[in-house]
Amino acid sequence: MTDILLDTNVLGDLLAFYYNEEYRRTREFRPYRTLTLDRVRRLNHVLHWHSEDEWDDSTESAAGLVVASTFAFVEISRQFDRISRDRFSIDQFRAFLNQPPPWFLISALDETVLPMLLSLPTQVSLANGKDKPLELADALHIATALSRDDCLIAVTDGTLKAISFISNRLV
Amino acid sequence: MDMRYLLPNEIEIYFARRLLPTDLASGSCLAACSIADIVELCERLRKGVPTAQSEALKLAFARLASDDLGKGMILIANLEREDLEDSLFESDGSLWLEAAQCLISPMHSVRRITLRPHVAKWWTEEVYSQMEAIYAASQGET
Repeated sequence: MTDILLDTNVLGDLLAFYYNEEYRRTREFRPYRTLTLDRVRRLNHVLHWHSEDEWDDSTESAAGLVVASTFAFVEISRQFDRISRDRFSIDQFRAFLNQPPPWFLISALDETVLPMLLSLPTQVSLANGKDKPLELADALHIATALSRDDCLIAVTDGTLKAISFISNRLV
Repeated sequence: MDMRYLLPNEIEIYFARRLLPTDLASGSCLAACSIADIVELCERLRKGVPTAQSEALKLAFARLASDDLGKGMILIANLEREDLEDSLFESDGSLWLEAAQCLISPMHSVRRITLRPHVAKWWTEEVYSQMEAIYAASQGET
């Protein structure tokens, strides 16, 4: 049961595709901007499992959930026009929040995130020898994922691969 | 019973040294703060900004979910999905621009959403007003 946590940009693209005509027709994700082929394959596995009664099929490996922190939704609301770019409306954004699909979990920002947040480094050492600060927003997404038992992390910032203890979780 | 906003320095003192402010210790009122207040303190600790009680605070916050510290006296308003439903929008369905804007820090957006008075929350507007008064001068910096 592996979950997959999305950062704000990936969540924005997921919402855009979710409210796109193609998704309405096929009920599947396709590669689109930050929704890479690998991410799409994992997303579709999760949503098929939840929407096609595969939970009752012992031959299919159980899927987890697609997860985003409530904080990611706040980030979208703060830059709604820039992120939505008319791909989804405020009403659709609100509808998703009020009634997320069964394969999607909106994870609270609460005390459970704090131990992981405190354990994260302040800087990421890049391959070129330079250091890059690990910003609070990225740290909160990572901490949310680490606070779940088995959770992959879909983040936009590829330099986070330099954090050794999360590199095997990044997709 | 009255409820008030728990000041950032009071949060630090309580979670590091387990010293409650006098009015809380006497039972005359309860206090609330936002998860944003706690996250900001954790962020200062993560960045190594030294305080006299850094190690005690780290330990307290790392154990907060399972510890009974503060429970029943200090309410930490978490950011749940329901808070977004209740407080991120105006009654006409538009975004609540007090929080949904980039002129304040992301954590101040969270603070406003979590402490915004709402019929589903049992604290009064006083808590929100006290919080705003404290952060009015530092908006955009926190």
